Amino acid sequence: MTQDLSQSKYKLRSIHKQTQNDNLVSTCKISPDGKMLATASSDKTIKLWSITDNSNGLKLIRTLIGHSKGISDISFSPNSKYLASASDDLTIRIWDVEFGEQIQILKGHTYHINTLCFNFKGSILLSGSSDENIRIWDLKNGKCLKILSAHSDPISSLDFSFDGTIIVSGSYDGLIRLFDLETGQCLKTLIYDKSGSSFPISFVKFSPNSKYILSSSLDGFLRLWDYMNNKVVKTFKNNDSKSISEKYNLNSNFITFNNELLICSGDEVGEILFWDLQSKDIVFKLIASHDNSPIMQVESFNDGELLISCSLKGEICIWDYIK
Amino acid sequence: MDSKKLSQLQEKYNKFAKAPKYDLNSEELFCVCRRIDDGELMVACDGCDEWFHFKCMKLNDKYKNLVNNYYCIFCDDLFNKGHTLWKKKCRLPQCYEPIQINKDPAVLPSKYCSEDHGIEFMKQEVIRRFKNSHKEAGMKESQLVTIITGSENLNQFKSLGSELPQFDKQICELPDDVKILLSEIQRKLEKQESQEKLYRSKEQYLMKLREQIKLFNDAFTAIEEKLAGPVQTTKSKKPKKSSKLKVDICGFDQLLKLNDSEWIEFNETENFKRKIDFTTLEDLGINQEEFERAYMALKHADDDDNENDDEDDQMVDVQKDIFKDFCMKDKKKCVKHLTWFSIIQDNVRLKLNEAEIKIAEMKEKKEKLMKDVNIRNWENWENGYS
Amino acid sequence: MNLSLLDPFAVAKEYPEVLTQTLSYGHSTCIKSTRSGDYLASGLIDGTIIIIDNDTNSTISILHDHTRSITSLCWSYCGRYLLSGSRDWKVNLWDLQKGHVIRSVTFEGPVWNCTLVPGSESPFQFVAALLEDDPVFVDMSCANSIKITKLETDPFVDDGDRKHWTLTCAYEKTGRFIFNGTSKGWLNIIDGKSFETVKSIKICNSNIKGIEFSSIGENVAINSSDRIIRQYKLTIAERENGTYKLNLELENRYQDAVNRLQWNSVKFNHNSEYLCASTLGATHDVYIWETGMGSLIKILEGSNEELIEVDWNFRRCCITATGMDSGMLYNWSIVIPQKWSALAPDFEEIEENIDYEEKEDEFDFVDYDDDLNKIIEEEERDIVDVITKEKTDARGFPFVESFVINVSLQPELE
Repeated sequence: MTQDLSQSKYKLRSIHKQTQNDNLVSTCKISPDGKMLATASSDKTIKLWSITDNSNGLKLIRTLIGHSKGISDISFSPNSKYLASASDDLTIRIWDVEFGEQIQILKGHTYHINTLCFNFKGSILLSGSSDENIRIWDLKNGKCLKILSAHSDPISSLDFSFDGTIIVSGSYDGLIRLFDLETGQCLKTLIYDKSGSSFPISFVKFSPNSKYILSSSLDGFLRLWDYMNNKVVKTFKNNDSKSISEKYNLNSNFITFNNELLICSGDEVGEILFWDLQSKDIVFKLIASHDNSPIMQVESFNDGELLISCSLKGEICIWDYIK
Repeated sequence: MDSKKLSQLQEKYNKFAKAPKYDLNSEELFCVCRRIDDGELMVACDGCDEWFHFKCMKLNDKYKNLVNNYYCIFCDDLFNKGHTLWKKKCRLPQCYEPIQINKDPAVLPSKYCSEDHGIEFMKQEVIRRFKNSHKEAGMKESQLVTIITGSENLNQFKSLGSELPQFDKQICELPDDVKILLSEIQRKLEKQESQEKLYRSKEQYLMKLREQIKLFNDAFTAIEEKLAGPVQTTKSKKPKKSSKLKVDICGFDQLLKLNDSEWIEFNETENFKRKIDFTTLEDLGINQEEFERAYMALKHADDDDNENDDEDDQMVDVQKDIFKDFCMKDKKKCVKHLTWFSIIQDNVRLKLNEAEIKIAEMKEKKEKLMKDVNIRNWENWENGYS
Repeated sequence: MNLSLLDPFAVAKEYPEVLTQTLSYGHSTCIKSTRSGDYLASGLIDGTIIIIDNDTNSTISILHDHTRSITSLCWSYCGRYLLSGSRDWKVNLWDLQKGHVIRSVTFEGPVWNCTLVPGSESPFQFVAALLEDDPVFVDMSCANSIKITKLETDPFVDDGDRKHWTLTCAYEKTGRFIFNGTSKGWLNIIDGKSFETVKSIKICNSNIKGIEFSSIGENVAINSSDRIIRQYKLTIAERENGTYKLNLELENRYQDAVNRLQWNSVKFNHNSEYLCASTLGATHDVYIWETGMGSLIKILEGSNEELIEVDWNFRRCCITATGMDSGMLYNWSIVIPQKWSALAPDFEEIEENIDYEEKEDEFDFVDYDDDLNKIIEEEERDIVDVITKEKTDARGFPFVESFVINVSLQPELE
């Protein structure tokens, strides 16, 4: 049962294609104050753009150079002053956004670092790596506080609960684990193996009230978990037995702006899908890439008032919510 | 050298030693090949004074000017009389002259046989390096020549590239956000500078205050000594102090409690100017007599509260004027104000330090901002150009 | 939120038991944690104040302004402002968003004690007790004109001509009354608006060292030099003519008759069921009593030096104390053991062995594929609420929006 797919709630503001064609973009992030966009790519640089209201959409402010290998993930600190970047050169670098200077280098991981997450206070940074460890960093001193080694495959995604006490991690071994930040103990494990075997988890995120976890796995489905009761309460799928993602770690979002209750996620053929949370139907789709390349990141600002998507080939689209 | 080679050499030497010195025409024979001197290049051994051909000793003729001491194979390996020493060759690859000797040991030895060769070598080196780096730098030869001839001296040439030059291709207006930031920084800088001024004046006042208190103390002690003199006056009801006549008052000045804005006002007053710059009691506007009376009144006030009220009232008024700001308790007994001088001094020093640090910070930030604007101007110009 | 996933028995513990860590950042003389339990302010002997983040246990902010040791600290309700009193005669109000002093008052002598008016939105009013001087109420709302009102030290009931000084002052939790303790054992209760002494009670014959109010309930603990902590129940009744009738009823006395220990500082826990105090004397412990019966419940051991100041962080159930000789901070908290059943979804911890009985269809081969979709449809019909947040955590503390101190990662200019 699907609704009319042309009922789109978003209007395209601008598209920005990158000039070099052999460069792959891994992710883009909006700063918490909504003024800047940062994109990371395999050419070892991070570009900082300012988000403008006119039809140009983006204006390049500066390029951050420093990593010696490609960059997998970037994250803004909650006060929008610092940017953390994780790269295959085994380091995490903290940049000062105002002047583009490198402030700290965090070394410790022994293989590629895949994902980063700041806590809401901006004092702790989490990093998940392909060396199967999660590290908790104290940013003020640049030291690693704890190492959580509870997975047996690369970590693909991390998130904090809204009060900063629980960490959720998703890994390629098919497990979603919840950890307590203070003690570092594992609080719970979730696994989906009803169909016989479990598929790698590519993305995890807490719901706005941190009572549910949205996870995306490489069997092509999105699942909403009630972790207190170890149950999947909603499953979201693509229509016509297509999968949402089977190769890439694509992210998803809760859209709650203007009393909407939607889940959105990019897929591997250049579209962004929107599901109604309660009925699980696909409400509408947005075409976000002209060459069918996977939509690596869909970033939402202010719970969905503004959406920015970026595809693997580097096409950045800005969408405004239509009231 | 192993024993086999050594024995071979020994045999060769024996043959050599037994060889005839002169040939059938009575001409001298030289070298291991036993031939006459026909002009071929030869070298004399410093050990045995025999001459040997270069070719027979397997030496290259080019090295003829580079021999310092030569020891033949027999003297060197067999008899160990010495080791062949060569002179250092000129740095120019194709030149086989020895380097220039400089008698002065303090100067580093030259690497070239002559000045001309030195210059020639450097020329070749620059061209060689330029050709190698040419691919990366993308600079044309003509540009390099312009740069070299453009610098006036070596230091200027060395300093090229240490700083990004100021953008001067076009007149660029500062972007708005930068203007706002700059004015913000300027405002903060001014505020800090005024703070610094304030605290410097406080520091100065403190120092002078200490002097003033010392002055008072000395004057008080003088009065006490006069009193304790031969005449024991009836007026003085105070029980005799022992030999300790020295007076040491606490001296905490109420004016030190003023907050920042009040202090700035106080700076302008006559009182302040007087206090900053005095040497005697008169400079402070205090009359010696009044001073003595006020002090006596103070002592009486300490003694007893009830007697001679009327008389004391007058004196107390005078006392009020002169000593009104000061805490006149004995320093050792004043618990409240204990160590007030160092507390206030530490405070003032801390604030001064803070102001200095902030000023340096603001200046640095301003510089950074201007540098950033400069870089961006260059980038934009280059993007527009290409 | 993590508390609902941890062992409920461990979470429900009322007081900490084990010394878990010691922190050493300079020689600490005074400590206070914020209402939300996120940050701990520690005043050092040289006048610096450091703010420690309880998540990482490292300093995130260093405040320089005082030049002598800090004698008292007080956080504002929102956690953004910090009031500090020190022996260098100054009381400073710090704004942690800007990281510097926004108001400062210099007195004529060292400050013993300073407290902000509780429950008030404005952090600019406080009461302070000074050395050899009358206590004062200060209103700093306007930066240019700071109003200082002196409070009476002499008791309401004239007890003769003895000279005494106010040593400590505290606000009753609604902010209506100020309680001052003097050096002769009198407790002066002063009205918070008119600044007139309403009542004076003679508590004991020696110095009153500290007055503590509980945050919930009407208990007051008064610590005095005669080695007794007196716990009172305070009742305030409003009369018709607008005046108040205050009544203090002695409930318990805490003393150690055996060792004759002096108590350094006293704190209630959040619901005033427990009272903790640090000792001065041969022992180096913190004593915890239960306030209902006045019985000693626990002695926290582990420190090897005398402890001076104590602070009870309610939300994290941890007690911090400063050492006298080294100035280190000792932390006692609850150790929660790892729940091994958390490591796999279908593990369950059981008390004793269960003999497992197989079901009839245990090993039946069922083809799931077609049914799977139907099962999913069945199970996933319910409405899910992802927006509304919980109001309180498992310990009952409400989730509050508390001020977050900005962490600056730039190296500090020395």
